[in-house]
Amino acid sequence: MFWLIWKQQRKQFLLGLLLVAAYAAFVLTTGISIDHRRQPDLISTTWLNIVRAGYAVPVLLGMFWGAPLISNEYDSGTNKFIWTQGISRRKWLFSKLAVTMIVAGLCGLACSLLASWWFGLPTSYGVIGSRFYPAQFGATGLMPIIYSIFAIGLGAAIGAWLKKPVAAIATTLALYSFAFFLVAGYLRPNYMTAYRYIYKAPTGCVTNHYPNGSSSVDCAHYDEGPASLRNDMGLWVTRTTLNMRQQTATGPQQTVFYQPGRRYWRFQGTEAGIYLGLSALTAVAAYRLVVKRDA
Amino acid sequence: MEQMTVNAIETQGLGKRYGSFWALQDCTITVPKGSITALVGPNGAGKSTLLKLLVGLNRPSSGSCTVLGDTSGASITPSIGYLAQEVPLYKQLSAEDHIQLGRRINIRWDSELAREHITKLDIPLDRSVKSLSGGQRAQVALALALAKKPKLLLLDEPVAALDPLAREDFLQSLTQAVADAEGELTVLMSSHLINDLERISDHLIVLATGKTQLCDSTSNVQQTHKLLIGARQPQPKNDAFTIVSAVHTPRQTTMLVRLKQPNFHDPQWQIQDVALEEITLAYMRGARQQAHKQLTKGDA
Repeated sequence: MFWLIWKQQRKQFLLGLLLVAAYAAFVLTTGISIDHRRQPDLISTTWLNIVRAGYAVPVLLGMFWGAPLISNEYDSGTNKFIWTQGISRRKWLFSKLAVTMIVAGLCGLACSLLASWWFGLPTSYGVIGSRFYPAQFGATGLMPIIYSIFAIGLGAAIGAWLKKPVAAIATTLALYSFAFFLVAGYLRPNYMTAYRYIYKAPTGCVTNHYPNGSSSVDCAHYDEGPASLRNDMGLWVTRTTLNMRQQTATGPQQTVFYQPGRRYWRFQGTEAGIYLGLSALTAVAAYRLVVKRDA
Repeated sequence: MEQMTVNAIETQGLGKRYGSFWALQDCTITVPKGSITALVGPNGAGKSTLLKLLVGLNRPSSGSCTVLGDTSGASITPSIGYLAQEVPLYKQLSAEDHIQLGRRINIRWDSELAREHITKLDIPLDRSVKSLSGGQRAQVALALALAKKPKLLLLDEPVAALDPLAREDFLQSLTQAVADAEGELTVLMSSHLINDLERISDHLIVLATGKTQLCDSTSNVQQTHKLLIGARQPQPKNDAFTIVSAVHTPRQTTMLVRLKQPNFHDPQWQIQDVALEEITLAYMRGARQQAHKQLTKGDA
């Protein structure tokens, strides 16, 4: 079975490895130059964004390894060949899923190690970027590994459902993105109760009034906050609210909800758990579609 | 128990429904062990569905089937060689790759047999399957099915897409394989028309509109089906036969009948032999008319 998987998938595996190799080349060359110069001011935002783009490697693997994994067999009719040989559909499915998930997970691990190293490089700021920035959070730590496993499972299940590779690729992209934004936007801020800091908007803040009656306050930095807030470059402001009844000289009183940077690993762990659960669901769905359904 | 050893396949009221549409309905057939059985029927008669149920790719909606003495379906696939209609093979792999694959995932496997079959026909072993002609691909698929050393070979329209020469070669390979197996191999293969399979098959099943119309040995079918020609009789009644189809002109009645006894004599009828093709066509036509009648009745 592994022999067949290798024969069928080697082209895609090699293309995926090329992608990871290109990413590695970029991260390593830029990273080494930063380390040498120790001039963090010169880190270009283009570099930053390209390294952060590592968060998109899993969805590419899901689209080009996961989605065709089973849909290709339905599309070419080869499922009727392989399912009438001396191997059970269940074994066939789980060998394919396991091998592809493991290889994808290793690709994710490579990307994560590269990005985590790059963002952790010593600079005068102490840290590059913000660890909770969605793309950076997704490009570092556990996430690239877990996302990759989930993307393969999702692609495979969708492929088994739709039976058409192109439709499966498009649907995988759509559903993966949906899950990603749902989790990052609505679930992630609530993994742990946010810290809260109420402060009066200092001078230098601009209060924006919108036609619909709402307003917001833009401040360059939270100078007036507690030391933990001031010095935590990795913190994540999840929400700010205004109390219009408590007007200060410069505008309404503002409440800042934030997650301190030190919570990064606990957040990574929680999200890894969520995505592993989703991966298990996709595997169950693929099993039901392949084993329990007519050929 | 006696029956199990005699028949390779037995189905009882087998049916398959896709949504509200019955692709196969109340199908009861027997395929004797060691026979070459032709499964004949028009498009959409349920031939492919029946074969898929027998090999365990699909699950029946009703009824039961016993294949090689086993009712569960999935556990006997090592003993069944199955060739799907579109002859699916891995396009990017070569014939030799397929042989290697088969060796790895089958309990019983004869690589040499497959190689011999393929090289004897001058088909390259090392070229990818997509570069082969349709006839060559069908031969590779047959070789792979035979390499499993199957007890039962299920072929879904194996020659439909082949040119006459490739068709000839394929059927010859098949008869050779059956002869080599010395009665241990049963073949069930489907086709639109009996012509393709007439020379090599000894058993016939006619399937139309999802139902079994006929299931017998070809010699029996030929002995019991006769063309009766006589003076016009709009409603001929006779206990000795059942009418399969009838044509009435103002003066004459021509009927294809199924005799209850092989020896039938009646001075008012001129009795003629009929070709197998005519018989199968008559059954298919009859089934279509029946279905049409039911449909219009349902509308009214």
